[in-house]
Amino acid sequence: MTPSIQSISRRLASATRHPDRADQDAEIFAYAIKVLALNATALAGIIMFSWLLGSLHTTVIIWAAAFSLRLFAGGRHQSGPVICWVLTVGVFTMLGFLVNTFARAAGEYVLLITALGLVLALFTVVSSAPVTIPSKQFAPTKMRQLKMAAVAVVVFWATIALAPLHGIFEQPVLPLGITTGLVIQSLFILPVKFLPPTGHIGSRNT
Amino acid sequence: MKKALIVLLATSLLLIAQISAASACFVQWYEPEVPEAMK
Repeated sequence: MTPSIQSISRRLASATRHPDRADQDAEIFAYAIKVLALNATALAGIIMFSWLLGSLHTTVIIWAAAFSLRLFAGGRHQSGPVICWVLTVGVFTMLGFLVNTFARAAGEYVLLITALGLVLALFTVVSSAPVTIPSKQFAPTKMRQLKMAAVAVVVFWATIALAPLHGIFEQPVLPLGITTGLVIQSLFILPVKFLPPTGHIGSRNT
Repeated sequence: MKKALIVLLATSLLLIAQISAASACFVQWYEPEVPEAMK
């Protein structure tokens, strides 16, 4: 896969730009092709599997909410593209199916679930966003802009989730899908370590 | 025609690279290293 991406990017760089910048341009094209390939194939996998499960609409709502927040807030990363692809497709397909299945059972608690989810998303964004990879170093001004953009994303989805759209959607899949997408992305923003650091166990009580 | 397609593809890829490098995270749960030329 990587040699073919490098081959395409070198060919594009030699065809479009000055020869002295060809190496740098080829790196940029290779980066963009990897980004495009990962997102496009992951979305295609999510659409295919959720369509097979009959929960396509719900899954797309969850993906749209989570992806739009991740764009500005960032989040955890996996070590390689394959495990990332499998996790992305698996988690979003599973969540879409679960929300679709349990939407009827949510009943009168939909508003409560939505409100709690939105508060959690807003709290994590304000306290921890943005989270990014080591090779991206943003200036403090840019970090503030990303945080404010992430807050705006949560507020935008909140207005849609809390709008009186019950007449259009029979089940409350829209507010529950939006809440699920924002909450799952919020969990990946939180700076939680799964293994406690050495020598700090129980230090809060001392 | 071929030249126009190459320029169109290259422009689209440059736009994707710029948005990706400017965002906190444009990719789901894995992100390639940002090229030195874009830092």
